Amino acid sequence: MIGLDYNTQVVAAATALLGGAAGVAGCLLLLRRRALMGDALGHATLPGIAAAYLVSVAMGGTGKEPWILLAGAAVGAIAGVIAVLVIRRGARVSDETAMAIVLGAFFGLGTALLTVIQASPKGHQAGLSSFILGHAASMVASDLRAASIVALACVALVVLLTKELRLLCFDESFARTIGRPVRWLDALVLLIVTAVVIAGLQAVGLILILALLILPATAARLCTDRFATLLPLAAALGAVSGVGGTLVSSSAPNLPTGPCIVLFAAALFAVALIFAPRRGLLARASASRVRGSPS
Amino acid sequence: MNAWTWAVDGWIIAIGALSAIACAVPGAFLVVRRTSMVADAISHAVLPGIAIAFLLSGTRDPLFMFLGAAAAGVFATLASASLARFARIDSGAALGIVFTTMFALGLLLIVQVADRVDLDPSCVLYGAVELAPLDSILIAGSEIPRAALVLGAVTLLNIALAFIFWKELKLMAFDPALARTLGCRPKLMESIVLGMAAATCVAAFESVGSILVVAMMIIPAAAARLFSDRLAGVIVGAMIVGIVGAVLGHWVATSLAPGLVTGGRDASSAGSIAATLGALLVVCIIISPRRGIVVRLAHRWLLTLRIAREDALGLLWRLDEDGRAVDVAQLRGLLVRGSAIPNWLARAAIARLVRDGRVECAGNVARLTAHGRVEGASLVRSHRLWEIYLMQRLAIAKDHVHSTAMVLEHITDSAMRDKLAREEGGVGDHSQPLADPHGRAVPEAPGEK
Amino acid sequence: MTTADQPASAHPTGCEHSSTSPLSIHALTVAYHRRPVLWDVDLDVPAQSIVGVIGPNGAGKSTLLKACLGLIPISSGKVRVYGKPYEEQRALVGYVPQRESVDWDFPVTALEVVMMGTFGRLGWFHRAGKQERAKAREALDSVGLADESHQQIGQLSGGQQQRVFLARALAQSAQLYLMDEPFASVDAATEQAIIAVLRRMRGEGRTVIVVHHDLETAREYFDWVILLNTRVVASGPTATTMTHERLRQTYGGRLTLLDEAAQRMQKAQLG
Repeated sequence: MIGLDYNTQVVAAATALLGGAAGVAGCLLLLRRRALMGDALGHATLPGIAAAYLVSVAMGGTGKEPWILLAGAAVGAIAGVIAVLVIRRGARVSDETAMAIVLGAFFGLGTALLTVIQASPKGHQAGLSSFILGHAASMVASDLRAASIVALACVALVVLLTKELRLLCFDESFARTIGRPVRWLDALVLLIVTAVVIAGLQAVGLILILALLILPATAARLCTDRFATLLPLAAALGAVSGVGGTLVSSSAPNLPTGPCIVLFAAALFAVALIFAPRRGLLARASASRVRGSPS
Repeated sequence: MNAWTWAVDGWIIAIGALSAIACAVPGAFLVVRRTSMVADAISHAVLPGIAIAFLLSGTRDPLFMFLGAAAAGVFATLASASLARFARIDSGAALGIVFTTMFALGLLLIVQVADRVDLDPSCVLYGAVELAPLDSILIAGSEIPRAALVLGAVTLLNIALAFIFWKELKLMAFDPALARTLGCRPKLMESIVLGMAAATCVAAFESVGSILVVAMMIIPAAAARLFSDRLAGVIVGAMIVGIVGAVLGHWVATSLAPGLVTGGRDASSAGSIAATLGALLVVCIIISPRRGIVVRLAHRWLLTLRIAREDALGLLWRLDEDGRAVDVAQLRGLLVRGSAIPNWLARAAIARLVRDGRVECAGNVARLTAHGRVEGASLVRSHRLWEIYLMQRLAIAKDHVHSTAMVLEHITDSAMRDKLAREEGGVGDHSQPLADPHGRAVPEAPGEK
Repeated sequence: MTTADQPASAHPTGCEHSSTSPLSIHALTVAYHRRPVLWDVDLDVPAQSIVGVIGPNGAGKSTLLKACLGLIPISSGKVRVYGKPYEEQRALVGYVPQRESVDWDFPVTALEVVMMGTFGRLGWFHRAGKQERAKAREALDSVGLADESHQQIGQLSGGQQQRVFLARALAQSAQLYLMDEPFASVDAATEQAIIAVLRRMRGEGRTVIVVHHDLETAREYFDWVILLNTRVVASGPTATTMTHERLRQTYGGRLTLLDEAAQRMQKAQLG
């Protein structure tokens, strides 16, 4: 990163940490077969952010304190998860339908609140809408600190509990028979994902955070069949996407950082999809040619 | 802004309602087929379609935009399906990968062309239904908003497709395996549904915004699913819920919200409609006639009360059999202990029996009336017949049958008693009256053999 | 010899459950969505034996195992493992779920799956070390998969996958094993290998309960059978229990009245 200006260094470091954490969290979502939960979670943060702003202003604050807005985002995300679970049971619909319902309704509420806020004289400068599409260029040293705390906490938790999480993802009922609290572990997974989503709001926004969660994880999954390799590989791919995307974005004007990071991750995914040793399209094609019949 | 002007508000509501009707047909299929997130994927994938259409055509002609968006929507569904199939990636993850990547690409492209044209990504996300009435076309002397025309056309298309392929679509929605064996070409039907979903998303996103299309498509159908198990019922129900949501949501945005939080300013109608739909779903979950919380609670409460009444009748009948008489307080105490119910419930059950003329209180003694005696006998008969059945057919131990029979007696009617009596009558000794495992005679019930 | 009309003679009479029995079940009733699938089951399983749970599809065989393991809630009754509730005896119980219950595409190797068997004793935060690895290798070796230990599980054949599950159970070092259809869709060689392992386990004093649906082999494999169809039709030593009459009762006529009652209970949301 020598030769880059200080701001770009900060952004690159923060998005690298974030990408790494998202890669790890994404693996858990992917192996739990809940990839799209990241989307419902992301969209559900919006009403939380808007409500936090309104509460802050009503109590005499400026509404710009980042920790208040992020706390609101966390409350929104957790409310979204609970709503998914409640609606799935109450309305007897599939997981997917419950997620679509929550993301539509919560985002709608967030939009309604946001239009109200932006119409107010101070509201327009609050910059709340930057949470939707992200605004990585505005990241400063304190954001870097926050990103590193989240990344470290996530990685530490996952490393400490690797054994339990792997068991949970592979064979939930076996985990229960040996006395592991499956519900709490599940909640922990969602909590880790929530933390990553919140930390990623500023960098890539609440829509594209899903990409950061699942692209590196799926790419890593294509490349390895080992759990022990999967997590570090996903983290590495996520971190590389963060740095790469930031560098690409800073190389020319008019290239917003969030989409650049996502497209960088997508490019890495495409490479994995084609060239992965056993599961890649090339390997599969040659394997089926050897066997003489397409599988 | 509290008074509605129909030229504006009327059109906004009409556009919202039209979106609801157009979304109902594909939405019902997506919800029944459990692939709701497809709507989310299509609505995000639209963005690069629009940007590419603009780059290629160089104009902001709505037709090009529509075609580009529709092509992108179809591409997203096809790409994620083949990713899931050929690379063996979890279908949810494949969907997420495709649409987020396309959305990122769309954002990047829009920024590139932003200096040449006013394409606002946030407008694509939340839509601007408030502005839709301004963009109108003069038809037969009246100004009709373009959004209403487009949505109307898509609505007609969806309804027409649903009519033409009704049988096949219905079969595919509930039993794709059977559909395949009957030669209904489920692949083609699946493509038709996805095509409908894509066209509807594209037509609606401009007015209600892309993510709110998801709400319009999925929430009303999920709500209608609570009221109907039939596809037609789900579709019509979804239309109704969607229209109610559009009207209420617009009212919330223009009348309720300004009064409550916003100090006189309107909230986004599209956002309010989506949030209102969510609230409507919660209401439906509560009041749904078959699966709703209210109905379930009411049902449970009535059931508990009925069981307590029946237990009281059976108790009195057995006491009578032993030649014992009890006062009301003793009866209540026995009922509380025997049926493990709270005191107030026992009190309510006995009071109800007295009111209905099944139990009378002569002096202080609680006694069955003639009517109550018949019902008590039936209940005890059910209980003892079940005890015999459970012992003989299920080989359940003698000391276990009582508790199971305590439950079964309450769901046993006279037809079932007859069947039980016939089965057990064939097993035992015919010269003696039927006796339960504890040696007590099974009472005869009037009119039953 | 008593007649078949008095099945109580072939069935332990309710109350006297021995506290040393590896598994004793008392008045167990289990319902799915308020519809009873197991009615009032009473059982005592003898120690150091291979026990078959036999019955038609939908008889509640898997449900019985899952209820014993606390995987599904029980409506009433109690389960005792060596005289104590299951929660206190987890370490003594090993479980082999149905093969279809997990995603075989999952990124783990055979050895890693088998090592999961040691996690129960290992506790939180502790990493599996040399000792656990050695135990897992030994278990894999004893089911004849020593060479496949580093294969990703998806690359193994169906029979090999089943043996991986068996090895995981061995690594649990339990006393009582509950196995859900371990012989389902495996080749003959694997079936022989599995039964050899089960016999070795019995020789070491362990008890194995196996859900099984092949009547032909049941006589050969099991010391003791439980004939199950919603309720226990009979249980006892294989030779005397698997009579033609009892099998007819198990597989033959459904108890129509009980089915009807179960349906009504579900409809009335009773129970």
